Amino acid sequence: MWQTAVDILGPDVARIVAGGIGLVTLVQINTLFLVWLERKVSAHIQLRLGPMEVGPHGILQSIVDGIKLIGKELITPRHVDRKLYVLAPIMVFTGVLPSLIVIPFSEQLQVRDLNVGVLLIFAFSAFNVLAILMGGWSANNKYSLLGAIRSVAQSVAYEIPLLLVVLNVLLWTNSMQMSTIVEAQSTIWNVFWMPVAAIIYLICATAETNRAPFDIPEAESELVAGFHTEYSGMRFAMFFLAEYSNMFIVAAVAATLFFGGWKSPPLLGFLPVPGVVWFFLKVYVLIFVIIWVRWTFPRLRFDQLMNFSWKVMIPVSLIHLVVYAGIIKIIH
Amino acid sequence: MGMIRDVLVGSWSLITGMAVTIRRYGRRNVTTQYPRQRLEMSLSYRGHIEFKRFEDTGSHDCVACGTCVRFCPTNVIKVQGEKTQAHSKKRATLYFIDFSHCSLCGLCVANCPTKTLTFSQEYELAHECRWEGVVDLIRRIEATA
Amino acid sequence: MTTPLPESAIEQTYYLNMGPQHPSTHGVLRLFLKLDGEYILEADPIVGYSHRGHEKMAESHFYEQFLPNTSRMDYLSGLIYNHGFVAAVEKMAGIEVPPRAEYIRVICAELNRICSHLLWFGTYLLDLGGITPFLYAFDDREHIMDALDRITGSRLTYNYCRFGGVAKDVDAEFARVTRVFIQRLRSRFDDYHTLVTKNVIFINRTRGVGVIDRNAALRFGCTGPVLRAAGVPYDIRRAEPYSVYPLLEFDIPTGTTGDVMDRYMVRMQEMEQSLRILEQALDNLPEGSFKGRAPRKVRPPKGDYYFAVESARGALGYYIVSDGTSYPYRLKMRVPSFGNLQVLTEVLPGTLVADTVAILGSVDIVVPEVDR
Repeated sequence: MWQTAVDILGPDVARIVAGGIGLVTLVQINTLFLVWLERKVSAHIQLRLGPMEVGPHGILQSIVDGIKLIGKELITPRHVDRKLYVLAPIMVFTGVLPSLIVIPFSEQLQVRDLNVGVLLIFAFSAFNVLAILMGGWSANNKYSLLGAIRSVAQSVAYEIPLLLVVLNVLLWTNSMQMSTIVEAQSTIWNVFWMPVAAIIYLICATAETNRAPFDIPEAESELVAGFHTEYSGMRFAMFFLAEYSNMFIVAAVAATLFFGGWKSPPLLGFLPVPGVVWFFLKVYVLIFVIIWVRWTFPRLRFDQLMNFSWKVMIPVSLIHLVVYAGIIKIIH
Repeated sequence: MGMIRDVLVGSWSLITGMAVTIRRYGRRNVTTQYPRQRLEMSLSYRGHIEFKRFEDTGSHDCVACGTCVRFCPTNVIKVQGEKTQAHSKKRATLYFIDFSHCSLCGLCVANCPTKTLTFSQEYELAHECRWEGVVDLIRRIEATA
Repeated sequence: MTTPLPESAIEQTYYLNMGPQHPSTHGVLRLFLKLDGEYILEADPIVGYSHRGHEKMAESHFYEQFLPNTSRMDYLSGLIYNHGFVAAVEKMAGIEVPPRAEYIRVICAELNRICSHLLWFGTYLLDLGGITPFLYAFDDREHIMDALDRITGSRLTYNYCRFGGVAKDVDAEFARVTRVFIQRLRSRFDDYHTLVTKNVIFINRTRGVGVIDRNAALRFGCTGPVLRAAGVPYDIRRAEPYSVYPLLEFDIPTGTTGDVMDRYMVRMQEMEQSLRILEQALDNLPEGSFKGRAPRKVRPPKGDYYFAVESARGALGYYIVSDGTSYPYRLKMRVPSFGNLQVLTEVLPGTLVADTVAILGSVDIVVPEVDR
């Protein structure tokens, strides 16, 4: 069947189609899994058990929740801007697939190995910001708009240290191609000799995906009801599914840039474990850390959040960049 | 330099906080998976009131005096009794309590002259109809004979 | 042709209703705010959504029948409310209380105070966004509620104090369970301090925020941790001692500036002091009867009487006017949350809207108590 597809479409296009199907499946399974994982991890931290009824240890809970959400009525209030209102939940997903195309799941499992892979990922993450703004604006509700504006300000503010820190890795690897970045970590993972960069990246990634402690737009943020207040049913679910997919992408990028991608850990290279398994293991450990952080800390107030970015993160990442640029120059 | 110290102290506080949460991760849960696991009520738990069964007579000893009716703050008790012989005590023939309005104060139990009222240990009292909250104590004690 | 804009569009200020139904107001409180962008210009708490007419009910029930009502006003300090009412009537009618009953009442009151402060701790962090300490605090509360369930039969609306003593005696099992709980809670305080008190995010959200200084607190009649955090060491247990508190040793924790952090620390330290009181009371629990003689229907002499106790939120007072019958002529409760709520009209203006929840939570209002 693969041969006929290649014959009809040509090898490149066939690869993209197969990769696209595989990635869409991955996104959906990942979301189902992450919803369950978050509920279980949060429950265990809080000394309770989480979902236990549906399926053994609640594995089928996410599927049942999805079915319930699909069955809900899609209410469109009269006063909304209809085109933008309908477009916003679809737009949040637009940035997900292109970002996943360039991620190296293993040595061969990469849909397209663009030589500007990193740039593509960060370019498409801007769609998230746009979609949130569309959602907040179309709802025709001043509190939704305030929530959306805060979210946009937060995303913009935390993108800067994110990119500055990623620049360190790019300076070392001398290329933006994702597979080259993984290859450059065959001797030692980037996290071991630039740990501060990894930490800053994880903090900014948490802020980019609107997760706690930076979740002012998402949680019952005191008075402002949030940008997704006017959404119900599946449209509301789309925003959250997009958030979990973004979490996966951000963790996957962290795993590739700092934690060696699909390479095995330093001393465990003798184990006959395929690269894909190591990759997913790293990604889910990072996601576990993000979930752990969410359930531990209280929320930052919005002005403290912005102060933290502009007054702490950006100076630290700038100094880090200068210092490591010097170190890299010396090493080469 | 003060700012650097603040950042370091702040980061350390965050890390120790995370250590606290993760330590709880492996502990056993403190919740009970009701209805698969049932809960045991303590002996002094206040369910709705019921008649105490005395050993000598094998039944209750309510004399329909009406003390519980007068003491109840929410007027949920209704008693009727009859006297079968001239020099004997009255005996209750009807005893209804509307438990949906009972405030579990215990005044009826405390002031009963024959000490025949006591709290039961029923806690699964959710009902679908308003009148299912009305408990007939005489039928209840006869049913558990 | 230009259309003139309406007045409200030109003005910068707008009105926001932090309505009766809100996840962060503890109960049905309505805060009517006048905002200028993010800053609050005026704050107006509107109460009455939870009024059930307890004081009117008291006029048509006799004194014993009012006992269950007392637990339902501030359901988090149910035993302390019980204690206050019963002590007020005992003072009126001259009923003797045996020492064992007094000690039992003090033990239950202090357990209730710890229970209420733990719940405040959990819900306050829930308002701030950290969801986990809520579950930890409730896990600790379960132990208190189990212990109190053993002797009173109830977990929330205790109706345990009777005129002349208490309803049931405590046994050695209760004392053992309470001592185990005291040890457990002391070790848990370290966890709470590491997870919350030293957390830099928490400190930034609470230090310097919502300062209720000494002047404002005294003018508005605040009592309890709000007043003590402002620097005034006023505690009914020391100012107008009742029961066996004169025989027990404990400190009154005070703050300095009266900001949110100080109120938080005062409550955490109060919990530790309550543990001290509990240990002393358990060690010195005398033998004897648990209930003195009291008439079946109390008929206090004519006159008006006032009795104050220290609930978890401040000074709770019962003012009873009796006309000689077994029905009170007038029963008025001076509740601590009423004064504590009023101070918000002075504290909130000038603060950010995002801080409203932090300040409101730190004052620890229970709206059913305000509305009765």
